[in-house]
Amino acid sequence: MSKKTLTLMSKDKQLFNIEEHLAVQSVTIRNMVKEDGASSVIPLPRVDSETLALVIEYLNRQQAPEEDEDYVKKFVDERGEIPTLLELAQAALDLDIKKLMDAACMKVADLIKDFTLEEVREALRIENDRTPEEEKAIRDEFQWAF
Amino acid sequence: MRVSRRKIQKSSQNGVYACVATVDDQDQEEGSWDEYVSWHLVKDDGCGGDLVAPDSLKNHNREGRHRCSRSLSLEIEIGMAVEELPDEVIVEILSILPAKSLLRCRLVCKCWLNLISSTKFKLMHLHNFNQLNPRYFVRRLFLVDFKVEECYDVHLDDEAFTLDRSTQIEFPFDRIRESYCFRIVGCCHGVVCLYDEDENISFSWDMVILWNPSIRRKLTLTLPIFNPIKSSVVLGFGYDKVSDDFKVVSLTYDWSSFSTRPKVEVYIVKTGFWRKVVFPGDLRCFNIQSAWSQIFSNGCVHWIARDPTPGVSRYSIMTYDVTTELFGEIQLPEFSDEKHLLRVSVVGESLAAIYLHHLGSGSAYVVMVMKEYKNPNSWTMLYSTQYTGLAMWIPLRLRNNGDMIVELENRDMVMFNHNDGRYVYVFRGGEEGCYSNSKTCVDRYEESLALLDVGDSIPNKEAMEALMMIQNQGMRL
Repeated sequence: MSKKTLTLMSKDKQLFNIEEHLAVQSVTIRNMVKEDGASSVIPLPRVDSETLALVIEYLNRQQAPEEDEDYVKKFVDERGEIPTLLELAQAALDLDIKKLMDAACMKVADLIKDFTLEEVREALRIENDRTPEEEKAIRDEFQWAF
Repeated sequence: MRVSRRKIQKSSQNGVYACVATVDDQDQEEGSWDEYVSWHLVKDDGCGGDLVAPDSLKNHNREGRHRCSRSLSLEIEIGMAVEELPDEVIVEILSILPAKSLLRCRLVCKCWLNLISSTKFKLMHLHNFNQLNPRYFVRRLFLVDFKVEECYDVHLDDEAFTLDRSTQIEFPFDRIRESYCFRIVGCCHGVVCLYDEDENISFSWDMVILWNPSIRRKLTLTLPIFNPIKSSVVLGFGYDKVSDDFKVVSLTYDWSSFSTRPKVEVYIVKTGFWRKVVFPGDLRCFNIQSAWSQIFSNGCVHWIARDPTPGVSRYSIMTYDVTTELFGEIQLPEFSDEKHLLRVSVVGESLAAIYLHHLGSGSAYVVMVMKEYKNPNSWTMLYSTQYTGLAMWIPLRLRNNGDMIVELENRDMVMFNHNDGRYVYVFRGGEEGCYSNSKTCVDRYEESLALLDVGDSIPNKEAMEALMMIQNQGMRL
């Protein structure tokens, strides 16, 4: 008997197949399967195809449980770009894959923890919405931390 | 169509309890993915009402997701402003950053400042960061140029209790009088409570300081109501999770009569005042044995206390609940033979007691753990360890895994690994020139944002010296 396969659809309408017993590592998918058997295509409208490909690669890993911690660390280490990691973390959050989410967040935290203010803004694509005066007031008090 | 909901910060103004944005993700033409947002108010009675989103919110594009979208800020007609907060992923990432990085990140944008200033985030950060980075600090004294200097080292909570060379703590305070050193009252939520103790001169309350070393912030307490002479003071320090506040409790004992119950005051950080608290008349063990014995855990301060009735030898753990401000008592385990209680500590969140037991051939430490808080029937022996070769001294602390840190008579520090039964040297304090034993302290080192909104920032030493010079010049003029 062949294993049951699920089809996931990314936000740009690409289809990915994955065996059900691997896909249900995602709590979100597990709940969907439980509710309606998820016979047809599962749409993931917030995940783009590149990120979904990564998630599928992670779900398809064949690791012994005791090596899993190291594997997930290495998996995010190899994808060290902050935008990729943020997409991955968001997808892992939506799909409720805790280990992947934690590892991706930890990697980003590790990358940005020594960044300057400007580097943080640039890396996370955040606009500065403060006047220089406001910025100075907060900065002066904790000059040693900058 | 899939519907996801995004909750925006809770607010209880004007009876409005939450604002929920419902995001309808609809299939669009290729390449674009728009969100249609409708706003709902959820009131305290559970009834909702529809609200029309401002124009700026319609067709908000997904690509801006990693930006702090201004669209999350919304003025609602009844006059409530919903504060902006970043995405959940960003919140997770920020919650595992060191406190120093967060001081910088507060400036990134307004919504990050809102987040980092919120109580909920501060507690989340305290939990998440320190769970990933469990550490302890060791306070030791050194004699430098005939002056006692306090030195704080950070150790990792790994098997070998490794020194963390990347984390430096600069001790910024000077004692007012010729006292020996600051007494560390206790440590919780990353804040150390220090007391400038003077054992020789009559007590005059110069200094109780709350200190958050990770963000270099301090709060000096005002004077209490009682200002007694010929008395001794015991302090306790804890965090009240109901009012999200730190409290310092002070018990003043009259030296002339050991059977007199202490006068009690509590300092509530947010109010900045001391308040009298009634000490119960029916508590039998209320003479605190060692002012250094307090430990904060499970919302209560704990001390080893003794029944002062002449001829009675009875000990128990006296408790002070920081939230209810009530005193209580926890019974200690009963032994068939005599054991001497040395210290209260914690293993993880469980209360623990370390006893000394004299045997024919030597002595043994016995470590008892209270499995279920405030249930005296749940005292269980974790281990006992005999020592013969080492000149043992004071057990300082139990670690999260139950291992015991002990200071030896020659000021070396050892750690007892209770799984393999071996003693391992942490450092050779004697060789390093460590000045004193018995004033060494070990406590959890947690990074936190506590005191960020109530304390004063501590200038670094260079800035302070420059200021002193200016002041001295001014005096000479």
